[in-house]
Amino acid sequence: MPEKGNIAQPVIEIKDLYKSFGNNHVLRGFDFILNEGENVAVLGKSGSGKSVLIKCIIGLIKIDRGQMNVLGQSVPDLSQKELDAIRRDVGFLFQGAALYDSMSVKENLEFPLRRHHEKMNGGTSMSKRVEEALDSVGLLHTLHLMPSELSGGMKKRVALARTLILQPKIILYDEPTGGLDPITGREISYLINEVQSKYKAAALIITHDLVCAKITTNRIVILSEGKNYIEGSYDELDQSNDTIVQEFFKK
Amino acid sequence: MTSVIICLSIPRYLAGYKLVMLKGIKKFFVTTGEITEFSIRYFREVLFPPYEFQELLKQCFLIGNKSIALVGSTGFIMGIVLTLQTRPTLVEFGAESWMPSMVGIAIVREIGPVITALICAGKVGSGISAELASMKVTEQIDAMEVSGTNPFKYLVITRVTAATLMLPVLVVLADVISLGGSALVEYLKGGVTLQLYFNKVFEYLNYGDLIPSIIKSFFFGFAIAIVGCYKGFTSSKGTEGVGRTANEAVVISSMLVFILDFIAVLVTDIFYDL
Repeated sequence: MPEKGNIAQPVIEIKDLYKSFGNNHVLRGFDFILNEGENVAVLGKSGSGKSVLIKCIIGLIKIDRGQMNVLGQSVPDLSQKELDAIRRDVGFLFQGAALYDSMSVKENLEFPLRRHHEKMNGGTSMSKRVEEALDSVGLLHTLHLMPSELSGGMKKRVALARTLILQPKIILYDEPTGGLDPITGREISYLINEVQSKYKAAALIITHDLVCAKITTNRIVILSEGKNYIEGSYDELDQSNDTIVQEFFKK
Repeated sequence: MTSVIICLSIPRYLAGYKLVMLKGIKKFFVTTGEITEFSIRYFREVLFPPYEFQELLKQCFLIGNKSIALVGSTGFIMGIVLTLQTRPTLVEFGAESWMPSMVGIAIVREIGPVITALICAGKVGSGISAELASMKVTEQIDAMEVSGTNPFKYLVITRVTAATLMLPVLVVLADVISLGGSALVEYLKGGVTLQLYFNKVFEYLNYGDLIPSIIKSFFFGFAIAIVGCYKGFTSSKGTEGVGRTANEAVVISSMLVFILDFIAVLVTDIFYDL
């Protein structure tokens, strides 16, 4: 979290974002700001465009219209080289972990480091960095295992370690607790909190898991019909009488 | 009454078939265009850094070394079968002394490269397409892109280059083992020594037989891998698509092997005539 008295700078600014796939208009004028050190969750129903939104932020999907600035740079206007440079500072945790099946856990974590030698500052060896990142998610013992030997929760943790290894300024989480049982889901949510406080990165968490949103974030944005319908803290939204908000928060 | 209904429904069926045919023709041209575009992208990017040498070596090992047993055993059986099938006819005409040269030329010029390429289309082509399709479905390709790696360079260029380089090596290996199988049959059936057999083979084989066969093997390797990569990279429809993709890759690359072989034979024939 930003220190009191300091004005937090926006790291992601989205204005009037539109994205369609044929006749399916997924995002229709979405506005959003993520400030330095802030943790924000975007809640929405399945198919509401949450995953499309973060894939647009990282440049995996091209937007149709609107403004999108990440770390002060307009993503749609960036060349491939400039986009790769931005991606060094933006971590992405995929919904299914997306670990490389043909590589061991160690090789999975080394992969981004080999691409970005400049991130290997401070004389720390690659092995040391890998061990540190794995240790921060409590899975140092899995170093030489293959992804197929890990459980769903372990895969998510290793994927989180891989995201953290480049020490990004922003971390985008796509359904971090998706497909996990409630206990493991809660463990992952607390782990996200731990790493957020350790690495001081801003986080945008795409989820429909209210427990995860409550544990990890200080602001929630509800995405409905392609727009940011409402936003507020968990408690504020929990007490809202709005029908759409209540659909998410009803007990 | 029934015949009237049948007569009335014929135009509808014909229209249906016409639509299916048109869709098939359209799909053929679209796929051909996209594979060409994919190949052009390969040539545009292969020469420029970053070069993924480590991954290239790994793929050479996987495509080359891991195919040796299959290609070798198939080649050995091919040599034995070809000799066993041809021998009675040659014996009938008192021409069994032509066996080594005939089998040698048939294997080196045609059977070795084509059979090796078809085996690789089944093993390597389907493997590449299934691997890339499953990486796409599980967002591993996206993860690669997000980590600042060009997936086309890392996955496609390495695999296509490795297959292009390794297929001629496998073809030479298959040729040698195949001739070994043929020599074994000749030794057991006709008492021809190994030395005499290979002396006869090399008496009639020349560079004009070997070089075109090696050159076309490079094209076979390229075609098999580029089709496998293209199908894998453009795979959709989730896990169901992975199996379908592998199947389509084998069918298309096998067809391409025959088409390329046909072109290679025509071109070689022009050179022989000169």
